[in-house]
Amino acid sequence: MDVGKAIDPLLIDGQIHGAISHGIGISLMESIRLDQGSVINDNFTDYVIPSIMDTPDVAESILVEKPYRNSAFGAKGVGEPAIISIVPAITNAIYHATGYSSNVIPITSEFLYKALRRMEE
Amino acid sequence: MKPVPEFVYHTPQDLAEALQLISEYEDSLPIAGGTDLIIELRNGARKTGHLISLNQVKDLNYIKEESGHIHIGATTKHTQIASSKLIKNRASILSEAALQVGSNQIRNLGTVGGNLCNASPGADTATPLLVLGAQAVISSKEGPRTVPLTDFFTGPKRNCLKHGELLTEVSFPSPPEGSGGGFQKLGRRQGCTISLINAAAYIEIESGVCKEARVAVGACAPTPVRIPDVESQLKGERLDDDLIEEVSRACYVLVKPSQREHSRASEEYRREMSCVLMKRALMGALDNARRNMK
Repeated sequence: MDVGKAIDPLLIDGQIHGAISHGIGISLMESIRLDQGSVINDNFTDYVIPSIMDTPDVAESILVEKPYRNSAFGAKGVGEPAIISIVPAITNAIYHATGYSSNVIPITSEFLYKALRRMEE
Repeated sequence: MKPVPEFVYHTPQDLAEALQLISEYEDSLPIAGGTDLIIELRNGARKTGHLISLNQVKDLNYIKEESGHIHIGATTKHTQIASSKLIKNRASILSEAALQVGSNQIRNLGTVGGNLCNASPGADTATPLLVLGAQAVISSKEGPRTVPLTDFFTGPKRNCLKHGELLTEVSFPSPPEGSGGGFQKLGRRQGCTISLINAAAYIEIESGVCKEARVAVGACAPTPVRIPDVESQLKGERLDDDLIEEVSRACYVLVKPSQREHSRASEEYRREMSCVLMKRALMGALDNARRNMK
């Protein structure tokens, strides 16, 4: 990941690991459910986020340092950008495995089951 | 977060004292781990004036094998069950299920008795105990009575306990040689998850033939349930993958999942997955039974 300048490499590593977990969450689990405008899953029992058991081993993060000329020390933001590649990686893996290409997330197991059923018909 | 409404907290030291307190107050509730109860007190689903803590009552916390039965005290925690060598060697499905209840923190507090009394349709320890042929020992000031676990659950979040009664033990026959079990759980993630559905199977094999078969599913009916129609199709047969596959398909029409609009999973998905989990549970049971033969 191009971070401009790694001011705190360990913190960046943590951000990238966190982004992978968050990416797994938004591609496979996280959705806000509404009933007439009220959120019905307003707790972490029903708004499901990944647990440590859902998180794979993360290989070494590779940091590219290409300074950004308009910021202090040439540093770039690292928190959210790291998520960008995770979601297409997962949806494309699902496409590769099942032939189903989704432009909607999250792809929960039930959502995928129904989609595959529709494809069979 | 809403506060828990006020109540009086009692800490009886032995069973007799606990039973006395429970019958003495009209609005008493027993509490052990409190992992379900505190949430329900907080959101108003349950009300109480007197909480009777069972955590000081030592004679409710044990796992032992006596005269051909395995006995588990009601306040035995999931962690204790999951780490018990006796349960692991003799009834591994209960071990597996206890290890998949909630998170580490919940397993360190939550008890098997609480899991059963809370009577969630998807309680993780209920299905393995159902297929192990468990009985519930219920005590009151008048003395103990025993009910088969199949009769213990009376509806979602409802059990057969009357006022003044306390679940004190679950016990089941020690599984013999040539027996094996399988447990399967499907949640919305891998760890710390509520069962969208779970399934347990127990079989006994004698000279290649299935002598006894018990299967159960959770979160597919108002209570965890045995499925006798599947059991009868297995008994007396030589089990193989094809038969298990065929018999498991029957779950689709036999289960009765919730049709609620905002349920955690749709009715159709639960029906379909009950077949898949049943097949996997039975295959696991068959594998274990074969390994468990002399």
